[in-house]
Amino acid sequence: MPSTTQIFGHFIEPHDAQDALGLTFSSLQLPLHSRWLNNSTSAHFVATYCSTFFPIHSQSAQWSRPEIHEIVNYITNELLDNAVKYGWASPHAPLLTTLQLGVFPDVIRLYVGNPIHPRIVGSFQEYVHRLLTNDPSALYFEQMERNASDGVHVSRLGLLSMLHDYHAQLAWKFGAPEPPEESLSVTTMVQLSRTRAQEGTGESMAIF
Amino acid sequence: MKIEGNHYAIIYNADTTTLSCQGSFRLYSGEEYNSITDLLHTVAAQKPVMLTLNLRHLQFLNSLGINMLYKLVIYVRDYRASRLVVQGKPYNFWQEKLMLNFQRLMPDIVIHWNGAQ
Repeated sequence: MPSTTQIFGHFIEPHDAQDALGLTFSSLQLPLHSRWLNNSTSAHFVATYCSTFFPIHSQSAQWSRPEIHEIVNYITNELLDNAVKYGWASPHAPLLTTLQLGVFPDVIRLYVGNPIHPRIVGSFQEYVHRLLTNDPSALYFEQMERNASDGVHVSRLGLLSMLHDYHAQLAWKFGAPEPPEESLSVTTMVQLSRTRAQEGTGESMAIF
Repeated sequence: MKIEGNHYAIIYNADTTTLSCQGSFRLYSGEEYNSITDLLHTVAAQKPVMLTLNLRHLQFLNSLGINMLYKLVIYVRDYRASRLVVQGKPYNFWQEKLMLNFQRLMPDIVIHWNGAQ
């Protein structure tokens, strides 16, 4: 396994934002399902904070604070749920999950970081590579069809829905393995842009 | 048929062949999800002439909840027996996205906003 940081996609380090928020969740004993249930509270808080401070420009017909709230609530919830599902800490150590929000004039960036077990790094990185190098629309609808026929309990639609439905840009930063169990930290970045070119038309489309 | 969970309910009225999804679906995997998918499959398998999916009181779906609805649309589509009508909540940004995806899965789906055609 590589001993240095690995980047997938266009990862932008958190930097000075117009408005920013940082949260750290530390969980030692709380059962998985309890942590899961708490994510909706956190997502709602982050979405409310973001929609309050995002600069709404009156000349755009599509921007509204309720829409920003919906999008950020959904995405934050998905990112935190993934952190609960895939996060791993060595026994007797707290599981740390970090969340950062950066609000800029034309962009919102969300970052969720958590440690993962070295055993799943390879498959996760393969999945990430697939997301970044294939048409998200095709992947999204293929996954829906597969889910309908194979009856498993995971949807694998969270990140795809961000890419397809919200035109988000995704990127990942994998830290170096840390002893003694060689866990890695992974940070998922989701960027939502105020406008994004529509495919094939060259026209810009306001997302929010 | 009815399933009630933490902040949500799914209710099927066999007389009106209407399936209503209400509340917030923050689905976790496992038994909860199995019960719901079983209900959806049972409803689709009854092959009503018209099946109405009422989402007017739906507040939130996580990705597993969204998957639940995509499954229903695919089940109904593949049985080729029922007309599927979806009643959406107007001015709801994420429901508009959902409806577009429904239309791609099943082009002859009918979408109503607030009951109007």
